[in-house]
Amino acid sequence: MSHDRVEPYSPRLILGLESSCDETSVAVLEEGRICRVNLVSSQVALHEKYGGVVPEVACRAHMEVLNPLLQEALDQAGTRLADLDAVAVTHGPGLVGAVLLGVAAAKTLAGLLEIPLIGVNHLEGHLYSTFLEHSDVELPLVCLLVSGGHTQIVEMTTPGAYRVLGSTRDDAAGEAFDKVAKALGLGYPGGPRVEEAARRGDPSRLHLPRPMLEAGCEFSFSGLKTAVLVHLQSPDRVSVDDLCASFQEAVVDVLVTKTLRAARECRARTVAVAGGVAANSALRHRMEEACRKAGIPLRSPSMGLCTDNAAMIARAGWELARLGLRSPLTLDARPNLPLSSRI
Amino acid sequence: MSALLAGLDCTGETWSVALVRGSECLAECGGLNARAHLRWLFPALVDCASRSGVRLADLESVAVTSGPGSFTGLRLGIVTARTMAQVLGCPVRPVDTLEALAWNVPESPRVVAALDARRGEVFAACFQTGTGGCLRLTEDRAFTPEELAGALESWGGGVLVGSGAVRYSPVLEKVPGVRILPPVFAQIRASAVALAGQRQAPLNPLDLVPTYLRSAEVQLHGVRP
Repeated sequence: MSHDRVEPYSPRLILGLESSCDETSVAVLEEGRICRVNLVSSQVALHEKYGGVVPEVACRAHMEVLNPLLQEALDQAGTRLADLDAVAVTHGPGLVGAVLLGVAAAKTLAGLLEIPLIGVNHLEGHLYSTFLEHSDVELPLVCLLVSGGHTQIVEMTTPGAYRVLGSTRDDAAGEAFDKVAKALGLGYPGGPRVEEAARRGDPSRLHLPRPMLEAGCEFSFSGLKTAVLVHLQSPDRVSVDDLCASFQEAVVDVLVTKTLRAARECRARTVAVAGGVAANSALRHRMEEACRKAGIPLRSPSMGLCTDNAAMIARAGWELARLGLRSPLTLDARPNLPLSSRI
Repeated sequence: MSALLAGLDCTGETWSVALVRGSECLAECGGLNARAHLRWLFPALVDCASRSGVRLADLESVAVTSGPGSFTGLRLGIVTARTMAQVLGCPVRPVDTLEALAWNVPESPRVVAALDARRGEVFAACFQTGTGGCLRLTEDRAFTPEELAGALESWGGGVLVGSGAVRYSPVLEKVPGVRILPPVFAQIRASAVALAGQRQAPLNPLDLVPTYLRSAEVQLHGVRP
């Protein structure tokens, strides 16, 4: 069991730890709203030469950075360890050797300081990231979680009650960006590189498939990626910029169409886009436009809170505390942890 | 009263935690299941403290195996030790994994500690053990079983202990003067880690670095950096 039921509580100062992929992050959150500090140590430069995240390289970097970052976060927040009221930590999904380090540190802190330990699902963290900056998020919320590892549409009716409306059957959207970038020789990370090239290109130059556009909230991006690779072999290939623009347009079309359909079906009062790919400006603009037309407020986290960070983990932990959940010191790392409702 | 030390090891298939004061082990707990390292390591230490009636807050330092060993286990032990030291405001004492293993053979002029390093290799080093502890005779390094057999021949044999010795016993036991201890002796005891730690200089927890003996790029290229 990853959680025990206890009397609901409301930790004043909550420490957040995140180490599920290639970012180590430590945050201190006050009263669930005030982010005293949110430090993120990114490994993007380390993995660039390999063209993707190498787990062993990632884990070594997490281990080096984690404890110094914790010290720096406390210093910057003007907090002592003894002032903390709870520790929230990502315990999955992610690279098991990386998740485990955050969990090891968190359970040691919680055990020695005698404060609650709260295991948080990484995706749950993304879901709550929007609440850190917006106090007017009305429920139900329909959130598109889109990153290098995940593509899901999730409905939240009350805090802790989630329903996954659909997810990808193969590649995540961010993964498709990375693979296309690699095939085009644009380097890593693929998202920003493709976006930059797309800005110079013409999205109507090449019509690429919009996979499963009519099929509910399920996604599939591997066919689209293959269509790009097949086009690269054709004699009348378009320029790299046009190809990137056409590819990005197809991905954005699918993401926006499905999110808005889900929002209408759930009678959502707010829409949000979270996760690393939410930093893509084409997606942001198109989603804004679509939400305005549909008359549903869009409340996405700002760029810095879209990518992996510990503030969102602390916020999710605060919500779980208010639902009366805490984790035992035997909490484990769960590399394939699914997002499931807490109530 | 002598100083209270915690010992931690999870660099192999087994995990072990202990509390040691002076030359006595107050409590020790462990298990054989590499997948349960994270789950039990810290809770078992809390349990050791309550069973022996001491407070973890009174620890003078935390001794931990700092490698070589399984990369994931090594990091888990180090992050746990570092975080404990950070909270308690105490130092850490890194102990070489092969030295901790050699402690399983109390009095011997030549103990060869050999861990299974996967990828057809062992991490090994040679020690002399006595009542005073463990004296290192060679540095830690990676060997193929055949290379280790050659080295053993040049050292004139010895007592072999550890998962690497067990796994490659068909090759290693052919060397004259070699005796291989059974698997139960291949399990590192955290009490030995703490006792060995008493002889190590205390370190700031952030200065503790693991001994991997292998580049992170092995994952990309296969055997050997």
